[in-house]
Amino acid sequence: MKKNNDENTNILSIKNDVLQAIHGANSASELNKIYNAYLGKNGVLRNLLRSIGDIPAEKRPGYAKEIHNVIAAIENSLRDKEGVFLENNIQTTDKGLDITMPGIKIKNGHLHPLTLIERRIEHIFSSLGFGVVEGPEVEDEWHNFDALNIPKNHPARDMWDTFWLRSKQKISNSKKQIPSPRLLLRTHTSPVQIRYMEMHEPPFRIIVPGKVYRFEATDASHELQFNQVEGLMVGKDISVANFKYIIGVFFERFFGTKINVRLRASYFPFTEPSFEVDINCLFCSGKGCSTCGHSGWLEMGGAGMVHSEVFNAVKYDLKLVQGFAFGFGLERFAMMKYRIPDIRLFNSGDIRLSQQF
Amino acid sequence: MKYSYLWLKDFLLNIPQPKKLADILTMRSWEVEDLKRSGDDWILDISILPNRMSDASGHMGVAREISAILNVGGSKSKFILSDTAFKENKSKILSKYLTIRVLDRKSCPRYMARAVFNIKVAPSPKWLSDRLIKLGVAPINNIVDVTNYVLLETGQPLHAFDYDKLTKNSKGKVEILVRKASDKEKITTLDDQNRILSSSDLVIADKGGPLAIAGIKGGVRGGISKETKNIIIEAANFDPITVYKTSKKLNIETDAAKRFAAGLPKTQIPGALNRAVYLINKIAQGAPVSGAIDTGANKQSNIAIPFSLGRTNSMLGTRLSAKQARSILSAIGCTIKLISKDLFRVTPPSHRLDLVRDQDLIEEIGRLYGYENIKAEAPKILAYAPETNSARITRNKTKDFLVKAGFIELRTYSFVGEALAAAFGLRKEELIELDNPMSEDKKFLQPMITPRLLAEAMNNFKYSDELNIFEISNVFEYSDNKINEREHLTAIRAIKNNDDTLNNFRIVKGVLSDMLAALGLSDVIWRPADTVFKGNKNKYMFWSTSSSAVLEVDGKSIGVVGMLRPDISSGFSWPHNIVVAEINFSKLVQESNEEHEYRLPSRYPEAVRDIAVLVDGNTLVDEVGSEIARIGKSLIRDIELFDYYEGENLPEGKKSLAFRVIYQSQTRTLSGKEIDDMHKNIITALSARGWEVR
Ligand SMILES: [Zn+2]
Repeated sequence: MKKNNDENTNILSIKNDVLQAIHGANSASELNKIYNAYLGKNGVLRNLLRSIGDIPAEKRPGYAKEIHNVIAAIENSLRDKEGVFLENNIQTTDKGLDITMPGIKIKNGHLHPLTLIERRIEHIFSSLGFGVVEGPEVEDEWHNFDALNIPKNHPARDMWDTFWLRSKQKISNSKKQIPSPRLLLRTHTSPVQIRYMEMHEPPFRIIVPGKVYRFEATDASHELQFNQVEGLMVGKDISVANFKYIIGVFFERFFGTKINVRLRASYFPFTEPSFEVDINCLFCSGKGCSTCGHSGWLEMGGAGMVHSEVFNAVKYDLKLVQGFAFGFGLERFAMMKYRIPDIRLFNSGDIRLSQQF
Repeated sequence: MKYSYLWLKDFLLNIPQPKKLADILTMRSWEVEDLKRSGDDWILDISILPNRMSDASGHMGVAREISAILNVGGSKSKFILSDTAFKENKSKILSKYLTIRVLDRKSCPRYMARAVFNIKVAPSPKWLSDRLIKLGVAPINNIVDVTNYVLLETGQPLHAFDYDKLTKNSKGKVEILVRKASDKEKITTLDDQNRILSSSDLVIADKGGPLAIAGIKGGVRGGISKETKNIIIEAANFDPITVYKTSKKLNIETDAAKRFAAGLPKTQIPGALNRAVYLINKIAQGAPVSGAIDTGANKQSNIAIPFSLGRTNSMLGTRLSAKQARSILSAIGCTIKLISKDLFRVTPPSHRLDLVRDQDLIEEIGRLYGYENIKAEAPKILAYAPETNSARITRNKTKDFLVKAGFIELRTYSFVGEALAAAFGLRKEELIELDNPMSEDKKFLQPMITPRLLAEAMNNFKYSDELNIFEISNVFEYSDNKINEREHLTAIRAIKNNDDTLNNFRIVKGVLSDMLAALGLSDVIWRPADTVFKGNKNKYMFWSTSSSAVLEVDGKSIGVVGMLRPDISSGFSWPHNIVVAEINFSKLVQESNEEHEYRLPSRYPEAVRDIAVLVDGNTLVDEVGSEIARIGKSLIRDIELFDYYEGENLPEGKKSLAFRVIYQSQTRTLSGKEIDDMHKNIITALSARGWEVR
């Protein structure tokens, strides 16, 4: 009995000592020491548990339970005291942040503004169900001109000043005989549409972004190397009315505001009817300013219904297909959206352009 | 092209006000690029489109177009020249003075001529020269001015010859030949240029040689001078392609050539010729010789076009009635025969050479009905699953990754010049040359991105001390007898006033390694370039091979990363620490599309041990690493270099490499003893290679 009492008294006195020590502790590290001394790997209480075999068997359960109670009480007390320290700590060290200090920047790179424009345009057309198709920049005369109903020795060809390659060089992928094999740098991305139609049957809708080249002196608004996005939608009954719908949705989403679109009569060999696509001037809301030449309208690109000769070139059945095509210059969109004054900046390799985006 | 408002009004009394007229034309027909006051007149600068040069290159044609736009559904106006009647001198018959022989009918479908004798060459009256001046044509004398006037009025080019200067035959008759030039035949044109012709060029000639390049420019011989008394006036039709080719080849652009190259209606010839004779008779007196010579076709055969109202409405997205369609078609001068409710046979007027198929008619209906009257309508089938473009997805991922890593995207020209190509050691036989380069520095297509990008980008040291840049573009090279075009990625890092190339290299390597991992490519090897290229000539000429790596993905080499050759940087006064990576992006896209199998992370614990070795300065980190891997085999998951040191406290020429080796098995828990034994084996193996394990 005595022995039992002794043991229990011993545990209880340990408990009291420890609780007092916790109460009097002044720091988290003191608490840590207490923990190690009693509850740590070789702590007093752990050792008591380990030596439980010395106790008569019948007393063991009660004794063990007692130890565990004490351990729980000490742990609770430790936790409470830790909480007190933590709170004090916060109160004494958190003097408030000066959140008006400038942010520390993580050094990021930048995309070229044309990449941003390209992605925005693609994103909108993708959401309208258009696929994105690409093709080679070196083209043969047939795909760039003949197949698009731009015949040799016709003044219509003068609409595209062309860079020609030194003769007798071939494109790698041309296995079959091409009627006009002379090579050039594509003057528009339209040949990619021909290549696409050679491989696919309607219905489809695609856009074709890419670099194009014109033999043209450069100035603030002309470049010999620039980017286009062309579109093509072909089906059984695709109409001018459908084009107006698609292009209207596109402009509205691109500029994020209500845009008036107008179609003006025009001429392109590969479309008929052909039109110029104008939008109301964003700079003067259509009142007339220097950007829009005081007309209130901005010319954005060309469009039209695909010419039957183009469908003939890709061997489509004219009775079963009709569709629209359109083309825009990416630089023009970028210049308008970001107010970039000179088209030559895009190819300049000047980091100060990209850095702003 | 310039048009006078008052002149148009001659043909169309109730013409709208100038500004309104400009708007109408711009919307329905052609853009009026400029509208300027000129005294009491207005000058409209109208960009007549190539398909309408044939009917609208004169005032009469534009007036006819305006009337078609305005009178849709209203009365038809006939556009016939007034004032063409003149009195012929019955005592003189043209056939006694002139014969015309067209030897190449294909190139000259119709040739017509008249003569006026005893004229008086003088300056034109004010009303005539005023009109020419307003439209930018310099008056010369009353005869030439009349031909120019009628051109501006009708669109039909005319040419006047001095009859007395032409060579006569034995019967005292002038014989005009329309024939192909012989090779190297010469003519001095009215602008005093000596032109050398070839057999593809068409000339107007007499026995004495060429008098004019047909449809393009007259010659000095036969030209009108102050002394001219008797003239022949030519009104002809020439094959557009012949005129176009010759005018391009000889680089002569004239008002006549522009029109003939577009094609002109043969039917307008007599009207224009009579008008000219009338005007000459009126202002230069003289007597029109009786009769005209007219050879060739005098009809424009316009073919009836089957036209379907249903197809028209389907293509335009309209619901036009047959009556609406017919009224538009008749306003432009078509004759219409109804076949059924839906089908018409439409014969265009002779002056509209551009109307040959039903789509041409649909366009006429669309533009004259007004595109603004067509209501936007969503396409019926919106659901359509486009193919995914994996190149674009990979390109976008790559760009985003590089931007996150601090790199700036640039774009530059796709061309290099001779000097740049030579400086970078690009092989000339692989360069693709332009036939008509814009400038010396854009003579070839770039076979690599680096030269042009560096040349442009290094200017940025003016604004920045540190450059991290990249470009993704197509490159072109001539190899295996064909042109190869593919996409490349170039990333460049350069620091001003800093010689730590190794650090630059390691940064680029780190970024690219992460990038490849982000693209799902795990089998990546960086091979020392000099072990790959073995000093022989190669296309990677601009890297210093002892300080560069060939990058291999899935066993295929996809590019080179390393230091730009110091002699190149010196040559351009660039720093010597430029690190350049140029990667075949097309190949990268292919590889990143390959299936990559997912590997379960091991379920068994890992153990970490470090090894530090002292090695010779020229020993590669990879040599030691691969030796560790070779011994450790499948028990090692990863080896990484965590410390690198050379310098103080180390023997001369030695460096210290510290590796962290992570032991882990895919199949079981490794025991401590197993790991310790393996580690000892590795240490033994490294020591055996002469590397001191510390
Ligand atoms: Zn404006």
